[in-house]
Amino acid sequence: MGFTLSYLGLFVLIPLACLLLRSAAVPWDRFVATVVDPRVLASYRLSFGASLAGASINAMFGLVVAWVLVRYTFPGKKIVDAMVDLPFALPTAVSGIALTSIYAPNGWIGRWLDPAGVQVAYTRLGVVVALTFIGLPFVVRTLQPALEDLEPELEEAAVSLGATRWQTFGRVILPSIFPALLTGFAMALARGLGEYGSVVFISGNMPMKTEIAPLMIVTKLEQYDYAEATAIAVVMLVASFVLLLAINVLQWRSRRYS
Amino acid sequence: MGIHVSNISKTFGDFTALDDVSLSVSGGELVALLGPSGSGKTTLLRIIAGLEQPDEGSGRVLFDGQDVARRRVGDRRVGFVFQHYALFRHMTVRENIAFGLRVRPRRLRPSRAAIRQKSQELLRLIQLEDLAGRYPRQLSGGQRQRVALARALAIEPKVLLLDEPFGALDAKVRQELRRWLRRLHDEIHVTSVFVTHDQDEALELADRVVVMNQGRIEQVGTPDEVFHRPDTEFVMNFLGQVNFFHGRVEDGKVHFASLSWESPELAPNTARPVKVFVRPHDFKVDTERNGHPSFRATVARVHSAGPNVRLELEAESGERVFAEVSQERFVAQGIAVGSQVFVSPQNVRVFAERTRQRPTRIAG
Amino acid sequence: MAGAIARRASTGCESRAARATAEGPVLRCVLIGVALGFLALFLLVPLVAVFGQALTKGVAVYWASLGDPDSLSAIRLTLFAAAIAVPMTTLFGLAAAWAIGKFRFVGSSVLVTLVDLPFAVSPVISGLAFVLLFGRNGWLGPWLEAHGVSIIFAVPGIVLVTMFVTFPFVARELIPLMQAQGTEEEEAACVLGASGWQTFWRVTLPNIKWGLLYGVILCTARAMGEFGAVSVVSGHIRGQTNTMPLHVEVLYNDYNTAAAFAVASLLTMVALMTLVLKSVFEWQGARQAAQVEGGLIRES
Repeated sequence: MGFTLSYLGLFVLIPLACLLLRSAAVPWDRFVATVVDPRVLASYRLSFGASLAGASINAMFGLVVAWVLVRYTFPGKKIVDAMVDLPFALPTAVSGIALTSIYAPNGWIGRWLDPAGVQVAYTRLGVVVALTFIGLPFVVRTLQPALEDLEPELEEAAVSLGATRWQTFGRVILPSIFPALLTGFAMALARGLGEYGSVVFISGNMPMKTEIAPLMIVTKLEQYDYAEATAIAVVMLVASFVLLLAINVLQWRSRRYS
Repeated sequence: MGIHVSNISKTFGDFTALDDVSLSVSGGELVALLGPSGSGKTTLLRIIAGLEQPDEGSGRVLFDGQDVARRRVGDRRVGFVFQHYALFRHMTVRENIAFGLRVRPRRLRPSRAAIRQKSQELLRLIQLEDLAGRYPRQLSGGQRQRVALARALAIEPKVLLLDEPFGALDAKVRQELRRWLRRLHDEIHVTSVFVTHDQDEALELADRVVVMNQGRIEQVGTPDEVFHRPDTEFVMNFLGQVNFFHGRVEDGKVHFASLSWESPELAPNTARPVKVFVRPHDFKVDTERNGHPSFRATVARVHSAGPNVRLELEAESGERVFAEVSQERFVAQGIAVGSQVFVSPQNVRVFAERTRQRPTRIAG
Repeated sequence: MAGAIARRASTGCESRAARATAEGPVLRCVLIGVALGFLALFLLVPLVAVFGQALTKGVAVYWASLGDPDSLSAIRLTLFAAAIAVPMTTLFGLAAAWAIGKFRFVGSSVLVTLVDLPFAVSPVISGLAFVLLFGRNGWLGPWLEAHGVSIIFAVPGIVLVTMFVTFPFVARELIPLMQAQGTEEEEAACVLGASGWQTFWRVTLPNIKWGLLYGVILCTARAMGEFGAVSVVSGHIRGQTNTMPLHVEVLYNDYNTAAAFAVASLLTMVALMTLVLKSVFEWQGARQAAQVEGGLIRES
């Protein structure tokens, strides 16, 4: 018990406390100036917007993937199921350079998209692609248990009352798994906000256009602008905290239903 | 609406759930499918509903003479009630009941006002008007099952199918709902089939009882018929208590437990071994010989807590016999542990001893 | 009961299709196609790209990149950091799960939330926190400099940050596991006279071994692959403070693509091994849970 607490304190609490306290030491006007700087604001918008887009894509396709994995059988299903965790297990730098190489103008996919006018690498779209990759396991893994727990009797009841398959899905199944879907979405969103390694290669890091918020922190640090780096970090921490709170509330509410 | 099931078989992998089953249910009847786990009763119910399909080419399901094999579940107009209610958790009671009406295709869908009125009628029927806005998790088990029933009735089904509807409820609630269901059925006269493993429920509720075992129908009859005149050994054993003796048939008499029972129905048969069944309440227990064929026994245990007194007797032939006597008789005769008594059967059922599953009754 | 039998006996797509509540075969195929297409695009293609790009210049160049002194030192540093971080995190995870799962105390849910903290924080912010603590202008900076100890921009910083980010992994696996298993077996052991240590070794450990292994390999994968946090703290000094992920970045930014992907391919193989082991351990753990349940049901 003592070991637990001291380890916890030493490695987690103290560094974080240091961060918070140092941020409190930043003069208020400098704090505000940093945080509302146009370049920084643009980075927030990009981090948040791209995470939202990525999480939404994952919500839609992740639902299909989870459905297929839970309800159908096909050759190689076990391998596919294990592969869903790849974004989780793969180092972010590796996924970063891999995605960049694929979507670059001369890349495997980029060479088809570029002539069509769709540029992925070094654009915001690339950031969305990277964040979709990163968030993929969250939605699928949250939905799978929810789908598995669905009682078949509910669907049988709906169909015996005359509902078509689509009506059963829309009125019975989807509302039942919606809390899990929302939780997975929020987790993918939270992960996307703080993501650095897999995005920083494909984004191109152009100021005001494709800079993500964590990159702003690194940039400030490289300039030894500790105070400003801290200010940006605190804003991000607050956002993550709010999201985490939302996730916990969602999970608590979904437990109330059953 | 009448249901006719003919020659239905259903296997799941290696397991035979139904083996060439045929059954007829008349319009307006309340029929019970009774049997132990694995007897196939739920499978039969689900095949009638259309939730399962019988094996390829194995038989037909007819509603009022029409083959419904092609029809999807939703088109069969059956109301299905599940053991664990299967209420939609994210909908209120009213929304649950209205569900079947709301999902109808546009041209068949009643107006919003009509749906509301119908829901209200049903809420009144199940006596839950006050709880219309509640969610299933806020209801008791008995209330949930009533909502499930109302939901099934909302679509005006031609047949009501109930899968162990009271199995998940407490004993007292079960009894209340049983009676309530019977009254409801008397009011609305929808053809109903329900599955149960509880014989009291089947015998109390049903117009006719279908006793099933291992995928086959053992007997179909009124509660009275199946209880007092069981066709097979299984039915006799399954319904109510029973004492079992090995015996022999010889010269128009059944010999068992060191007594001989005259059986005029017995055609002059070659002597053969038989199985003899007597219900505990069909034994007359006296402290003196009474002139009827009887055997001697010693009272081993007395269970007097209950409507009748149950006696555990050790017969002189060594068998353990259970008899049931009224409280008055028990007191009047002065029976106690250790008493010597004479036991005479009043009603006996004899089945031929065969190695096959279905011995036929030959006397009793 | 019949429904349950039906579900258990259903094999493959066909019997499911026969059920009243299934989708038609066309829709099913479309859904499977969409799912597999999405996964192929986002998972398979990048995976293949790593190895494809690594081998563009041929196998000889591949091996040469890996044998390069900077690459080797990056590999060594990565393994070193993992070799320290993983055992420490495991020890902590065991201790925390033991404390939370087996004892009741006020604030145990707070403790659980705190354990999850590094998970929720962006890796860059984690690195920043350590810089603010141990860096030259940090709280402990002057003290460390006075004693000639450098943490940031040196190996110790990398190790510490790795410990921070891998912190939750083992604990997160073990806490729910130990909570679910309860305290009965340990109590029985105590009553029979076993010491705390013995109870732990002989009773608790065998029960959690699959969850533990699962947490350890996830922890190892993360320890080896961490990029953002280490990047902030390391100083990017080639040959000294570059871990494998950082070295990949350095090579890539130098347009030494083949070499970058060569090192990346090593990390990818570790990731794939992680996935394989993960499946094995999950399966074993589920089997163990089922056996325990089955045994209990048989006995009751």
